[in-house]
Amino acid sequence: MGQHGGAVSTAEQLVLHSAPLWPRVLGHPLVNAVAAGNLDPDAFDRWILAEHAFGTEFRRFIAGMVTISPTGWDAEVIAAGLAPNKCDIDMVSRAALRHGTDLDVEPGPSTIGFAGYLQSQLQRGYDVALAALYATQQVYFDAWGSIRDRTNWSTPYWPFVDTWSSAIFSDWIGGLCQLVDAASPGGPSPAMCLSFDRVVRFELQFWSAIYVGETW
Amino acid sequence: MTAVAPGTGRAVGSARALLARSAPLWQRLTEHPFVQQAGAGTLGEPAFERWLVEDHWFVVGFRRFLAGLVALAPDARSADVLAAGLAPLQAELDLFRREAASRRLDLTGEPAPTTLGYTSYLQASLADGWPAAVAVLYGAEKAYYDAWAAVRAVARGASPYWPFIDNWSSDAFAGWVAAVARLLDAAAPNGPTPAMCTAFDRVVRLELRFWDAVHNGETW
Repeated sequence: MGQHGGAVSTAEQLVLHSAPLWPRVLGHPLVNAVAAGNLDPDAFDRWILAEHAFGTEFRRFIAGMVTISPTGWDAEVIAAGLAPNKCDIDMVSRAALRHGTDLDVEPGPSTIGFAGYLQSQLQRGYDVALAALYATQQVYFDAWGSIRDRTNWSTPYWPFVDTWSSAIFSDWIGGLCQLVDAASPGGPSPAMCLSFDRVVRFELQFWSAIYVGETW
Repeated sequence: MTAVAPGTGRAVGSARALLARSAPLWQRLTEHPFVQQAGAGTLGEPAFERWLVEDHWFVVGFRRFLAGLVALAPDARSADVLAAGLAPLQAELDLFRREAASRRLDLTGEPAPTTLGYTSYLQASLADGWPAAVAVLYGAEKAYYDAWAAVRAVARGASPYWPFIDNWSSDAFAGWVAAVARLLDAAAPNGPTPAMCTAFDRVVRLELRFWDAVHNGETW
């Protein structure tokens, strides 16, 4: 049974299918360090750089999703993510200014690979690309939402945690869930499950690269 | 503006200009331990088998990229050149499948993160337009040809990996790479754009990462 007592929705099935990965999402060292307020300054620097590069590429992915949306409703819901994405990019840019992070540095391999994977999903059809989009957002909300109540507001990372665990962000994800359910009412296809799962694994790689550091 | 070879003032095509820019990375490609050990026949079996599986996945993703590039080609002549690269990919996949079957390797699992990231980047580059995507194709193919050509003379058929070395250092492959270079020169007659330089450079670095990953192993 789903959250609301009915049959398990397609969006819920996607999360259930990738449930083994969720403990790694919620227990990731980057997430824990942010909650504890002891993230290494170099890791924060890497986070700002990676998040800026990812956000810029993610905007292209969202825009691509709008162009392949099958209905005006889909396009409307997805396009509503563009303005918050710009706010995210601005927020990260402000953090870069405060922290002295150079944003003109080439992003790391994990960022390039993750962003490339999202773009490539636009060629797999709308339902598959939508599963990928939904995964990126659900992972972020669940991870940062899980530490919202125990993150110190005075840390430099609070604006990130606040943004990605906010009610506004949750509403946007709720809209995406409805689109996922409508796109594949009989449940997720194997291709949707694979795309969702890979995005979660790419997200974990992205965080690990930020936390540990990686070079070309 | 015309592309100029560094330190010479001579005008060169975009393909050569991109190679000249990436010279430091190129040395790392041809001297990579994976390539050197494959040529010398000293590559360990586990690394070879990882490569077999991952290169199979690479070709699967690369074929999608190449087909997308055919669709993006600005004229029939360019499409002819690119489409000619599709048939050899089937032969490569067949070679991988035969070799994998004889070694009882599973080709139905998941590609490693670097392989998936690399092939995704190739496919994503299609959205950057024809000149950038051709620069990406040239980077991937030239890297493979130069690396395997560098060890061909040393291997001379003695390496147990000779069929693979031979395939990617053959005259036929060299001819295809040269044809792609001509497409690249025609796509950017005034020299590579910054976007083309970035894309080319990323591909070479992703290629190095790919070899690192198969040589050392990696997991999700």
